[in-house]
Amino acid sequence: MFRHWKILLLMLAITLVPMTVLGQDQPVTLRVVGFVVPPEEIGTPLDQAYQDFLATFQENNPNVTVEALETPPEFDTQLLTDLAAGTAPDVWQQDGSTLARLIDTGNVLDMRQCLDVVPELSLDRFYPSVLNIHMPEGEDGPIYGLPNDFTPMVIYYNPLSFENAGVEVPTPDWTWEDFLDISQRLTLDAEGRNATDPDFDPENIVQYGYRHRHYVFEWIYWVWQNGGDVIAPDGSTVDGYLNSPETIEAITFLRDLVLEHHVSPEPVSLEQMTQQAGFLPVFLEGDVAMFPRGHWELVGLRNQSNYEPERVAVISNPSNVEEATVIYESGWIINNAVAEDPAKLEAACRLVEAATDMDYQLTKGISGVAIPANQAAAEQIAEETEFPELEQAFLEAVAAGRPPYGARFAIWPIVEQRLDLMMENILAGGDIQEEVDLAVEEINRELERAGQSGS
Amino acid sequence: MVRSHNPFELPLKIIGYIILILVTFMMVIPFVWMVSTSLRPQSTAFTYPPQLIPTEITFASYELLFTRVPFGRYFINTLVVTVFTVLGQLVITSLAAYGFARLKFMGRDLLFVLYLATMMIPYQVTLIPLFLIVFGLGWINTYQGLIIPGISSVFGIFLLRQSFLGVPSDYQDAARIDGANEFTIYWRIFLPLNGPALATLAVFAFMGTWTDLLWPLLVARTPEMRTLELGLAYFNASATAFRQTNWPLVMAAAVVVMLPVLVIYFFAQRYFIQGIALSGVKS
Amino acid sequence: MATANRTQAGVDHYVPAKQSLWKRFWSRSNERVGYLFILPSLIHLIIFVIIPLVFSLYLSFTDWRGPNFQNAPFVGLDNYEFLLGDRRYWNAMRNTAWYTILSVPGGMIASLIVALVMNQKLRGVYIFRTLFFMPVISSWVAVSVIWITLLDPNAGILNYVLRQFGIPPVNWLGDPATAMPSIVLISIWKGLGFQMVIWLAGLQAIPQELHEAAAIDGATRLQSFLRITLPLLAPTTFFLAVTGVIGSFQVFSPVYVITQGGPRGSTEVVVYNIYQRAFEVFDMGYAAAQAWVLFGVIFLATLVQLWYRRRQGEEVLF
Repeated sequence: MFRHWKILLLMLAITLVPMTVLGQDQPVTLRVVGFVVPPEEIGTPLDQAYQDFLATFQENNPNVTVEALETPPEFDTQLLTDLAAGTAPDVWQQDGSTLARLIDTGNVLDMRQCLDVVPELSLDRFYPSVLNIHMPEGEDGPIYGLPNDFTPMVIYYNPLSFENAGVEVPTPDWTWEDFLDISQRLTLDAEGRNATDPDFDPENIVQYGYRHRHYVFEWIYWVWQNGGDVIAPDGSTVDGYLNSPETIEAITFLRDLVLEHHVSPEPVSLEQMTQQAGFLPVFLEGDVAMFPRGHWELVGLRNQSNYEPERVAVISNPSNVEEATVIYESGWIINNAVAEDPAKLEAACRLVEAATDMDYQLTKGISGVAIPANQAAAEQIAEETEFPELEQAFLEAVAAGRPPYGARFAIWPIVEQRLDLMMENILAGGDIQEEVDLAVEEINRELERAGQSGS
Repeated sequence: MVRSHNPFELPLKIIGYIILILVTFMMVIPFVWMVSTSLRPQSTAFTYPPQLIPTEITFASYELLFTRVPFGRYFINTLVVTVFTVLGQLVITSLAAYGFARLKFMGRDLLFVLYLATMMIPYQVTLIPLFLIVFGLGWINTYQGLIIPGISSVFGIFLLRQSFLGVPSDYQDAARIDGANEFTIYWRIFLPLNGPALATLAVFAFMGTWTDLLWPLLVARTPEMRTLELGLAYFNASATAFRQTNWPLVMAAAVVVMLPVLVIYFFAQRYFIQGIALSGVKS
Repeated sequence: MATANRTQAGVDHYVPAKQSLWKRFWSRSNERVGYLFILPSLIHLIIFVIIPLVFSLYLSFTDWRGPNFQNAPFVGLDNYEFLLGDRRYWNAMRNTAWYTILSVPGGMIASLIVALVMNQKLRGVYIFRTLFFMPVISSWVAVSVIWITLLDPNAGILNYVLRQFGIPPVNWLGDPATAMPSIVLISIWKGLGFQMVIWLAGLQAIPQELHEAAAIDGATRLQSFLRITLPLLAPTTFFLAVTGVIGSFQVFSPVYVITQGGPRGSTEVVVYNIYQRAFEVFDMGYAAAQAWVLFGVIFLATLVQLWYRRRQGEEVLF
């Protein structure tokens, strides 16, 4: 009997030892970027929120030590060299607009592994359209990272400008036609005539209706609103997309805002209006009535000396064929290397779970830069804020939001630049068809090369 | 003194001063702008029309820098890295420059072209391999990792070589006949004769190391190893589209990094003046 | 072997070499010393420069897109083939050449004038020299903000000054025609102190006696400058021209912080292109190919300069 008991103990030990190694009690150190404020913000409420979060997490996970790293200047450069040397952090925040190139390197953990390890981490907490950014292969595919915070692109408008021009403020169901009409009536010359007036003087405009610039991040969703696109869903070509009738029509519409209807300042005039103090004071003064932007600009606007709450309002984009906007986002990424150590994997997953749960996500309201990816937190902040209708307008835009193409195609930064240049040339008076054809040709060369590499 | 008899002396001096003052304006106005921006409150960083002298002065940016940054530590790190880099560059590049300028050996010119050629590849594509080498040596987050990759420079070798070429070969030949070996000639004749060039190189090496950001960013991984420039760059590091850049702070940081270099440069200038070294050397 | 060499050392200088290359190599004391002198720099160069360079050359034949170097697929000349038809690259190359043509002579002439003035025995020259050195050590980020303000079409100081002379305002950084010249202007401004210091070192090496002798012979200042100063400055001129061209072809910082290649691609330069490939899309293989083609262009430009200098009768060079 006694002998058997000893053997039993031995067997128990043999099975238990690896279990303890695999289990929670193994001490783990996680290197994490995203919970340290820059030195000038030490002691601010945001700093406090980060510290509280880390303390609580530490308390709930006594075996885990979180080494919170500062966000270095030139983070991308450091990250790439670190990935090459194998010294990259375990968890970090990643801009959704550059996610695809990172996925391509094979360094991003498929979060489905976390779902198995940490059951509390439910995907229901996220806005589906935001979560979608991390799922390039669809519903059943891998989940590369999870959302942290985000913003849809919306239209900011200044009610003061509407008052000046005697125009009713728009309603969320507005169309392109409404948009053009409103923009024209908002655009006033020195004599007070608006752009629908036959005597309107485009040489002396004192108030513009809208700001259209060449940057594709501010206009790509106009193409979507018209039922077009700029690139094939599989990223293999832009032919048949960028030069499709729907897309050309959208580009023409945007160009005409500037060159035909004069409701948006030409690039040179815009630069002269804004170069000194930036665009925001000009907007708050009422000189440009509407412009496309994300949630972060609320912070920028509130920091202006001529800010007044009644000068800032937000509305979702007008639609033509369908409703659409783009969602810019920052997500949590777990380094694939973490998966080699089950204890570390679990710790990293727990950290991301804690960083996306209601308690922590509510602290996104402190800086107000972006909207929490946690749906319940976002709604609570929207209710409790000083300007609920502002926040509500953002939340209404979320459903029609699509992922930024930088989260889909690794080559996107190159494509984006070419599209910027294309619109810049068009706004400088270039022929639309010619510019588009040239862009199609050059971008397709790039896509063909990217396709050959199998990425 | 023959020069004082030159009738053009006075007008030339006046023209000289006029040029100096004009250039000074061009050089200094941007810098005044920098200092004045650093003294503004963030809310009035940019006013329209721009004011060279701010109406409202605050030292808040400097206060923030000096209270939030372990300046002593960063300063010492920067000093250690800079001093050793400068010394290393002076020794290694002057030796090589003497070899290339004054000694004949097989493949010398080919080798020199090879040296020059290495300057023609932008660092952006060699950064990662270089980092991997330093990583492989186990030098990440160490002083040697910050110093050793910078202790030689092709630019410096080229600079000194051109200067060494200007020394008349009589000196070298005379010393050889006297039985001096090459090292003695290098040490006793060429180094003293090329004071201005060595001083120039020292200044450039100093400046380049003092203000370098990219390499310390990759090598110095804990706050204790950071250099001044890197430490200051962490301010506003997360300035993205989502944040407003705090320009007064950026400018204040730039001023703080610059000042020590300027002071050293100011006092080191006398080493640029050759004096009578050339006529003083006779074998 | 060692003793044999030592006994020979005194005479082999005068013995016409009929030995094998290998023997001649070791028989000249002068030569071996030469290798000793360059050895420290050579070791450093090999470890920290040549190896990374060779590595990047290898990468240019691969399709490296991830941080893992081991499994980068070899693609032969694909990257170079693609590059031949890459319009953006060649546009950048043209812009870079334009930048070089404007900035190298411009910067050299401006800094030479300043250095000549500085070399006079003027009062307070120390202070001026220090002031002129300020842009050299200020950070590009700070410089860019300052210059964007100064070049502002409405409120900028430059346009204000021009307006006093009746010249209409120019949209310096916003107009494709003037953006690159503006970048050149800023680069010259920032590099002036740097080049001035090198010119000064060269000027200091010219014996004062030569000018005095020329003055006695009745030479004017201009003659003295053209006949004495300029020829004696030749090594410095050559140095600044060669390093200037090498540096200008790799211009990056001002474009990165001021214009990001715009407006309408007019300030896109090669290294900015390379940076974007390498660090924005992690396309290091193609970035390396771009860098090596740039290398070829710079190398050719340098060879032309070497050849020109040799034709002028400079025998110390190659």
